[in-house]
Amino acid sequence: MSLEERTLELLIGPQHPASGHMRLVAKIDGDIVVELRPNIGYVHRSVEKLAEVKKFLQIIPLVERPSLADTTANNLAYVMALEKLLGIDPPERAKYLRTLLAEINRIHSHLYGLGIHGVMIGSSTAYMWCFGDREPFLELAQELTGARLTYSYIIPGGVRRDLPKGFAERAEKAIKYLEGRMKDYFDIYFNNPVVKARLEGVGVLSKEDAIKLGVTGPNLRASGVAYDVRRAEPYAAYPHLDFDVITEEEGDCYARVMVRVREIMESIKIIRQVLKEIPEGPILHESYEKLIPPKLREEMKQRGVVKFPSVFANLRVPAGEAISRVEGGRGEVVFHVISDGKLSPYRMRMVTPSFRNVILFEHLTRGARVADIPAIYGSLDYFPPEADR
Amino acid sequence: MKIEDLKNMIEENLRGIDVEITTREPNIIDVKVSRDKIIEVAEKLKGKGFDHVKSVTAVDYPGERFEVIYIVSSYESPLSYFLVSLRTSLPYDDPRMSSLLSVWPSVLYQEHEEHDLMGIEFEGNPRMGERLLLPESYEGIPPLRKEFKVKVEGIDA
Repeated sequence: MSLEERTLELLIGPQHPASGHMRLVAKIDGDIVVELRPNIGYVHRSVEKLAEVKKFLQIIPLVERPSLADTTANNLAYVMALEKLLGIDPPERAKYLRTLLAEINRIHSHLYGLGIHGVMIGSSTAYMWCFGDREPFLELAQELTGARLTYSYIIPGGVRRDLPKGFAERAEKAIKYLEGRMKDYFDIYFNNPVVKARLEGVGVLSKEDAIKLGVTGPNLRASGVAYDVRRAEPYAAYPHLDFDVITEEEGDCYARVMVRVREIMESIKIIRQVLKEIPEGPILHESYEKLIPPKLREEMKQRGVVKFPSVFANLRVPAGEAISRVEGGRGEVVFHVISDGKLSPYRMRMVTPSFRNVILFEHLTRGARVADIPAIYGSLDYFPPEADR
Repeated sequence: MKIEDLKNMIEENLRGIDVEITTREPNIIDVKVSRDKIIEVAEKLKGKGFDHVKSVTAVDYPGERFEVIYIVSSYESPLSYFLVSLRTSLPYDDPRMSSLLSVWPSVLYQEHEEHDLMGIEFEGNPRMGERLLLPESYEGIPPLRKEFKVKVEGIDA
């Protein structure tokens, strides 16, 4: 029999094989995957095209939507690109607040990824726990920004709201709770022999391949590459903060999970530093602040909520080209904005971590067992709408 | 490492090839090259440690040209701080160039996307002719081109 006659085509999806619509087209020989191709685009929103007809500020909610569990990264990376073109550097306090939200988001994005992975390999406990334990962090984010997921918190020149009173105490409470829970996670899930058997030595990505394929985020670091944008090209308050870039050496599904778990602990470390060291001062760049009428400006300072200066409605961004990058929960977000000085970008390229990592579906499944497809898929923390954009 | 040092290193590395190298503070180096020399330049950059591509951006200047920009960098410090934007222009009536897949496997999906949505041909990329994000049945103007207009929907349409 030829290989062609022996292999069977197996279609997985597109209706929600995990988290968002995508289809995996696998050629299998018995229960071994000969070849697998991800078939993406089911949740394509044409963000890049829409950006060309939206005004610069309207694009903030647009870029957040594809990565619902990790909106801060897109919000921040997009605004950083604008700020490069505008020549604006936000005040220090705003930088700390951006970092604070980014790390709260990283924690709940990692819990989201770990939970989805859990349910994909049959542990509904991990799913329930992770999703339940995201809640205190969603609450914190909501208290800071007013929204649970789509924050649109970061604006050119600063952030929309100041730190609420008593936030540090409530953040500490959430952090202590999660630290305590981590022991339970290890007892029930991460050190569970069944979980280890399903994840260790499965879907191994070598360091060379991780680099060659341009993989990003925890998936890259789990293969021993210590690349993190927060260190490579530090932004926001990261230059002042002490944290480790987490790596693992094995490159398997378990290593990818462990990187996320350990990164949660690093995020906790960062949040504590931010809340301790955050400087006093304005949260919006003075060149925008002074455009707000004095009475409103006073009210704004008292309430800690930014009134948008009228220039924001028709914000013109000087002609030019900017590239920005941010380390989001799932990896590096890259924005490449080309402006011709009008009200919308001439071209906006948005590269998300899930789009960079989609190549792993074909690479890691070759020769794997069909039963390992969900274990591999889940370990990538891949989010179809984020890849499709 | 200073950006000027890196620029000098790249200039040295690319000596003999017709390129235009400029810098944008603090960390971007633009390398402009013709489409028939881009693979050669890519290979040399890779040899210097630029190990992956972060973005492939195709830009439409209607009736005039397409510009294709590869944002290239490294996972290793100190190069990881810098971004090289390797760019080439394609004639409007013949938007084709060599794929850089043989140099950087990380461009597989990125080139495919720019093929799908902008209609650029990357010769040597095995995914040419296939759809990525658009439906299989899609025919017509590649939607990221300027001549494709976004339809207004709703009450004001």
